[in-house]
Amino acid sequence: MIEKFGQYFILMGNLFVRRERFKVYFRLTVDECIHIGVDSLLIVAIVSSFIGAVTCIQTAANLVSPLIPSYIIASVTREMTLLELAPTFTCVVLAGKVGSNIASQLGTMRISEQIDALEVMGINSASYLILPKILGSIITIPMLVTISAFLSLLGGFVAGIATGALTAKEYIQGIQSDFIAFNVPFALIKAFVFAFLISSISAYQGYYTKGGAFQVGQSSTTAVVNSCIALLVFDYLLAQLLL
Amino acid sequence: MIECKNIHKSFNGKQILKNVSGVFDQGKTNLIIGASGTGKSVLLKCLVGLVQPDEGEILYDGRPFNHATNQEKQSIRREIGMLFQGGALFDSKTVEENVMFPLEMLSTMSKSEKSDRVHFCLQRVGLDHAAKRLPSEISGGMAKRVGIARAIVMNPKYLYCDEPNSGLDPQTSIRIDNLIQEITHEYEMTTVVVTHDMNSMLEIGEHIIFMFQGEKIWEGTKEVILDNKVSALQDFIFANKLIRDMKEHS
Ligand SMILES: Nc1ncnc2c1ncn2[C@@H]1O[C@H](COP(=O)(O)OP(=O)(O)O)[C@@H](O)[C@H]1O
Ligand SMILES: [Mg+2]
Repeated sequence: MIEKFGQYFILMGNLFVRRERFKVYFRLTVDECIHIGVDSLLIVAIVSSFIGAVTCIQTAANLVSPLIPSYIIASVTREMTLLELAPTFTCVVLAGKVGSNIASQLGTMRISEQIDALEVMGINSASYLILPKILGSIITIPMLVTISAFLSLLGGFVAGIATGALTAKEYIQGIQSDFIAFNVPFALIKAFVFAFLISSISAYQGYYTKGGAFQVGQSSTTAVVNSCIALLVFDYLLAQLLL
Repeated sequence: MIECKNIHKSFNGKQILKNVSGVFDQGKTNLIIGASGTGKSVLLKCLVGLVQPDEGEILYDGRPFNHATNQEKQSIRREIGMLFQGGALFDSKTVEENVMFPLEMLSTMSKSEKSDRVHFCLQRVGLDHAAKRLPSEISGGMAKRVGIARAIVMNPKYLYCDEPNSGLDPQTSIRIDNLIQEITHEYEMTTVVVTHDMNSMLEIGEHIIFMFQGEKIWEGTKEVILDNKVSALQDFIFANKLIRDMKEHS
């Protein structure tokens, strides 16, 4: 266990020694941004719209007292989605999608000796393969989380009006009242940290795969599980540190 | 010339290489032969630095390798070409891009020089027509030839091949063997080939090292290997009926 942590940190250190030319990384990082970011838009959009909608309906169902004004439903939806659901839920979904992809790609490259081939050419395989994935993730995942936050508020809006829980005017009033501006950078900090955790942990699992196809599958599962655990632990730590 | 001196290597307490020494000469195809699981691949990985030996010394034309700094290792590695057992082609890149890859990463050539060099190497292995195909769309023998093209594209001084003809039909095997030998002579390379193929041994074995349970127990050439007096080596080569017959008739 401790050995694994050590190996992980050594790998992270290795990303920054013996690097190739900047141009090489630039092109690879753009590729990864498309692969990780653009290709995840649809799933993120679907997940966040539904989260917003469900949060709004559930809040409305629970706030039955006539003493509480309806616009509070929108405020609660905003707090829930912006702070926790948009960044954390989106990243858990991305840990499944992006994490398993990274781990299985690197695992396959390891068992088919493609990583050895890079090393024999005198190329730092860790930095060549992993750095662009980490950069691509920490560039695009915060963007995805921003979109997700917006879409979950929109989902809540649509659901709130469709079910007649509150009017459009009340919803707009609700999401503006008592708004804490720091929640936006906080959500982005979370997204940034989660992006690093997902990409680096999955890359670590894939890069050190040993064996055959069966072990590639195992690495990919372990990558998703470990990313999710790390993500939730850091979710808790960041909440305690920054709120 | 590549030298290895007293190489020892264990994995999880199990000794795989026991005091292996050898000299691989320039301009020759040097063979490492032996049964499966005797540590041939591990020895090759020690030689290229993918595995760090526990003890011993590896020298490339007198330059120490395994105890060198990363910088020195890297500069020696850029003179090494290697053909992996399964080809180890990058499966997201076409044949052409695979061969181009080392040039893209490591050379300062212009675009047209790179492209000329790639097509020269592909022609050399007879695969210019398959340049645009993906590794998943070509046969095993073709993948090995692409592997050879990629290994020689940087004009290496040292060429390693791990079982270049495993899993190939006899005719394709011989073509690959001859290709490796021709390239070795043409460019005066130091070539090390791991194999357990009898045909290759008798065809291109200009210098042969026989490994048995992690040790080097015989060394010689294809001309004298049939007259050896080592029982393990006799068991190994005379397991093949054709060679048994050949020995009886001579
Ligand atoms: N990375 C490794 N970890 C543990 N054992 C290994 C490793 N690589 C090779 N071995 C063991 O070393 C022995 C020799 O393997 P190898 O060199 O691949 O044989 P071959 O002569 O067929 O190429 C085998 O028993 C194998 O299990
Ligand atoms: Mg082998």
